[in-house]
Amino acid sequence: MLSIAHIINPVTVANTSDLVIAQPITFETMHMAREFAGNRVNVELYAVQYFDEERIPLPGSFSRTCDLTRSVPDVGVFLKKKNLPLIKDILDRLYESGSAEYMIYTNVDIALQPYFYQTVSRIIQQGYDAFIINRRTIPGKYKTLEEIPQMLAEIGEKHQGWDCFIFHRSLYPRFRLGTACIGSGWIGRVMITNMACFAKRFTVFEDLHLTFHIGNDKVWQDPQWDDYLEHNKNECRRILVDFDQKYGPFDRTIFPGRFFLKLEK
Amino acid sequence: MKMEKKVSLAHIISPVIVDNTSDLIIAQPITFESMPIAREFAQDTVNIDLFAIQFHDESRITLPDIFKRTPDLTRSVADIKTFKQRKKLSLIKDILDTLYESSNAQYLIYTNVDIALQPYFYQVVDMFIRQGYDAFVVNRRTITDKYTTVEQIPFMYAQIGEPHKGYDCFIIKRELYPKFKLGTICIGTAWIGRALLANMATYADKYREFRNEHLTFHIGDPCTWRNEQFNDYFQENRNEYLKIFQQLETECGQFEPMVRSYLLDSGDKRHIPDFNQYCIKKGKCLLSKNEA
Repeated sequence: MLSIAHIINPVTVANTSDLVIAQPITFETMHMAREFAGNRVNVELYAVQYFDEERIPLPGSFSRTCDLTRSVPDVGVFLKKKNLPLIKDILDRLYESGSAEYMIYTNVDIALQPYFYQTVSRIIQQGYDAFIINRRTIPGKYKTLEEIPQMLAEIGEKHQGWDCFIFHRSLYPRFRLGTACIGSGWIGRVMITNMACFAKRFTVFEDLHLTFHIGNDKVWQDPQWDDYLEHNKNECRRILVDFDQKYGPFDRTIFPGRFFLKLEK
Repeated sequence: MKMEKKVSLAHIISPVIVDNTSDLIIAQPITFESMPIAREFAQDTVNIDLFAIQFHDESRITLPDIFKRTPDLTRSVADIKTFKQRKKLSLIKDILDTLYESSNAQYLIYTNVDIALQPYFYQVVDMFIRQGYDAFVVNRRTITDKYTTVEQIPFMYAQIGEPHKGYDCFIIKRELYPKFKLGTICIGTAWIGRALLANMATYADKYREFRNEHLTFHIGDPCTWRNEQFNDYFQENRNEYLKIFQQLETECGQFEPMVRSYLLDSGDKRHIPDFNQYCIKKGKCLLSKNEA
């Protein structure tokens, strides 16, 4: 039976954060999707938090990994401190937590359709060893767990960004993620650079109804955090240039080579 | 803590024996598989009975055990009217009468046999009922026809598809049904949807058409019911619908113009209420008090 290990990074947030609404929805839908997959797919759910954070309550189906011990301000200089974890630290913990064939990372505000893992397993059976699934953005009017069925039924809108990454475990040791952090831009490109470079068969699914996000606040685009965006962009540049030299030259019209054009802007 | 009583639903389909050229060869097994999945998904919150009805002279189609078989259909529209070519299309009244008699469920559901359900279908239907809707239709998504087997259902679920204007999923509060006027209108051709809509709009306290939800799907869009050789079934259903419409207006008074257009007109002439703001109550458009 196919085995999948899926990690999220829940965070303690102020009442004004959209994550106050989104996180419980994510937890519940992940649990639901795992139950729905039943004995067809072996799904392990993981959550990683900071060592100095209060434990966020999670459904019993989640296991907690070793805590995160650093954030990106510990490895860089920024105008204002924001405890954004390094994607490498999160994925290292997932890799070390078990031996599942496939690893999944999703942003903590990404909720799953019940058939998410079943469909992921079918995609894997088609030979994809790394892929991304783009979310649907649904109206921001939904707030509570009781409304989840209606959220599931929302078609929503297509979203261009990347927030759901699935790849074969064997690829991960070769990944170079630098000190790129989640919670800001360019993290998706860092992941795609690695996934597209090392996978035998990589793709981005832009039009599947598999995940959703409530509203489209784009908190990470707030100009006060621009230096975090710049940090991630620089990390992506370093990784891309290095890979282009070692494994390329990359075709500039497809992933990951087309990111060079974005970097020049 | 006060536990809310579970809503009870009775859902009927009418499977048919078809030859290998029919799209139902693919669609029916998908429907049969998706309905119990959706039932199980909702089992903690909704009571659901699944029913199937066939013609008395048909061999039994294999169904998941969870389906209950109702008493058989004993006539088709071709037994009571004359057509150029005989096609065994059931009367919707016979199907719904049988469902009504087979169950005490609070709500009755009829879907075409080629309509498959998303896993959360009954949970969302339950939510709509709790929002006060006592009759409603849910429009399907039409998905690609490249997926054809039960094993591919996860891919089917994940298809956004395209919205569809037709009607093939009807949810009716049981106590409304005895008032319905369905004449001899048959399934499997056009105007059946309008006939149900017209009854629902007449008798419901809160009717709505859910046009954009991802709750049901249909594989491809072959529109076999538009086949020219069965045009007379189309015409006969239209005539029957107009009779039903007149009956409803005679009994209950004329529909408000917007509702009349919704029920009678076609194409660009048809006015469809903005159901995000309005519902239909006994033939009139009202601002919806639903805050959800």
